[in-house]
Amino acid sequence: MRRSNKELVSEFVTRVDRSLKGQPADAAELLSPDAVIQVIGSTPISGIYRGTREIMDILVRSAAGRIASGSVRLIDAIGQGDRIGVFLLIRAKTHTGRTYNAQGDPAGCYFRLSGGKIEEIRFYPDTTQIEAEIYERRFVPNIASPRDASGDLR
Amino acid sequence: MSTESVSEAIRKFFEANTRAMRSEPVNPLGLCHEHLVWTMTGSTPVARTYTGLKEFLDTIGKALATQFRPGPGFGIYPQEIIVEGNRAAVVVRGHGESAHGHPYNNHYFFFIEVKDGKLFKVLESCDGALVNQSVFDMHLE
Repeated sequence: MRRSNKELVSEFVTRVDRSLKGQPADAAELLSPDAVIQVIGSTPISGIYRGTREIMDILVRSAAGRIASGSVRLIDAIGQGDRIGVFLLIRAKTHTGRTYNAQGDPAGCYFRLSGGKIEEIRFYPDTTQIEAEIYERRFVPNIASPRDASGDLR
Repeated sequence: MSTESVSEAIRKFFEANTRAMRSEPVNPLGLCHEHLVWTMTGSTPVARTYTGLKEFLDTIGKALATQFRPGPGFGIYPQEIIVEGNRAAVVVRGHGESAHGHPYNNHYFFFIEVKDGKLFKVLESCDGALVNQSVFDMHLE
């Protein structure tokens, strides 16, 4: 019997969770070959990734370069036809021991499916935490920056 | 509530926000329930749960009035409204400018529960790094 779209999204999240825990799971098998994933924002992993090859070779490889382990759990889902919106609880540890989302905030994610495969994902992570914890950068007030005085950054 | 009425309440709210930020005399928060619970996820200075329309108005309502530069280019546009019962998942794009003069073209994702034709419970995700950089005038080092 074919899975419902919600069940398919839930299975995808479970497989990503297994991957983050270092267990064998082929999450990409649930993606259409032409799937498009958008990670919002301007972080180093933000952008639009087209096709499973680009998703695996660039997005997943970039994330794996910083993230040592993690978990993802589906908290809630709203679906209508081929579109599913979910909130996820994602936590991750970096290779340097930093924690992404220690506070346990949910993150939104939009899925569009077709023919039993995921065609599109738009992911709304905590971009502040990606910058601060995963890439170890700091948000600094413009007026408080000593480099501002030279005009380098403004 | 019907799927159409849930969608309509949400569309009207975002349309009223767009009009208000274009300096038209409309009150988007009039489309929110008196017992509104609005949670802004993330790590920005405004990320927390606001309980009751008064608290939301006193904090976010006032912040909106001072932290953005109103103008004819301002807009907040729902792209997808996925309705199930009286709840919807909503994908939204925004276009605007912060009071500091920085572009503020954010991406938003909401779960919105509608009650009595008004927004009742809202869970919001957006690009918090953009909020820090544009609205709170920060840069990354």
